[in-house]
Amino acid sequence: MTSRRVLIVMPALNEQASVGAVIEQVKKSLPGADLLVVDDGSVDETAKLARAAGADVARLAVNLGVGGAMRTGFRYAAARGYDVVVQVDADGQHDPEEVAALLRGLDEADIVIGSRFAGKGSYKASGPRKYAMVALSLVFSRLARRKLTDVTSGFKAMGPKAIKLFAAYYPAEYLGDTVESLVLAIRAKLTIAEIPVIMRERAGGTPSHSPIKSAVYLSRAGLALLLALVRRRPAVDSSDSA
Amino acid sequence: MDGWRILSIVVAGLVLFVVLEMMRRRKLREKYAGVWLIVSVGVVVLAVVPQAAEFLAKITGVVTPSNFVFLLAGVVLALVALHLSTEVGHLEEEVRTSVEEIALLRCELEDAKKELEGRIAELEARTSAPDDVKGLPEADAVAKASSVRAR
Repeated sequence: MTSRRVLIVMPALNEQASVGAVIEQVKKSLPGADLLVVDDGSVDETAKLARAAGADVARLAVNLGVGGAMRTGFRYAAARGYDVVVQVDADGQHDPEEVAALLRGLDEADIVIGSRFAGKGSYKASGPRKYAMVALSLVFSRLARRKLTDVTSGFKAMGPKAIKLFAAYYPAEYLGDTVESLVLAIRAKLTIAEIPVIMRERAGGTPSHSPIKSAVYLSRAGLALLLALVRRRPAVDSSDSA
Repeated sequence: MDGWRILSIVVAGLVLFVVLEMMRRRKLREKYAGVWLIVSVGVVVLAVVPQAAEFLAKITGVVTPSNFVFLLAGVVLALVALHLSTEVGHLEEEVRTSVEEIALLRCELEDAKKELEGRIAELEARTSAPDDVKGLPEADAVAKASSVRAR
């Protein structure tokens, strides 16, 4: 298990306030892992600070969203023979100390999700957002045939099979990086597990609480799920031949 | 001949001319030109032979021929819009792939640069050592490497 080559992929968009500190923490708690910061078209100093902090930086020329940033990470990992990709947000929401637990979970699953709702920590969603998450978790628990409580979590570890799948195809659309990618993984017969984690308060940015925003989120999540379910399995070639 | 017929023929001819001219100047790619060619030829036919619209309206059960033409126009425009939407999606995917590729290439470039610099430094350290390296193949390589760096 110690022989696994681990790559931490950190999608970052205008995170100059937190990226340096987060990289420091990751390096301290995971000395054996390599770190790739994918700068998703930031207009601030994110890339420079990340490089100064000692991470490899892949700079996307235009903003592609988390999906594009993560696929860059997966392709980097696939090209350089990494066995594990761990997605850690650059805003400091994810505790690098928990990565070891995610990695342990990979012994018996291809994807391990760090869940906010599985018992640890006090994160609670409210209102329509909560219903959306409950509904999503119900659907996914059925699809995956095991309990998944937090499918929209961005704190995930992916094993070799998942890296191969996601390097070829990783959705770039809204919620594609969470909802649709999981549907893809389930369709490809990958096993998905989750472990409870504590998420910290975001260093920057505020989660939305307004009812309109929540309603929009709910419907977009529903649409994303619906699309993911009815879509054909993508060809291995990432650019679809229309 | 009625004024409206002349007008419609002129407009239809203009549409056909513009489409052909754009194709000729390579401003319209063949992939998209096909649809417009069919549309413009259809418009010309309908202008020259208004009975065609009347006939088509009769067999489809549309009371006024002009409404039939409107329906046709709406359907064609909707199809063109749909086609363009899929093309935009396709383009987005291609742009995304290219952007990712560029980012990865930049990563590789940086690695290669680091490695080369390391090697050059090593070579320089070796050549500045007192022992004579003239005539050895490394001497050539050093000269080349330093000239590359000087550029």
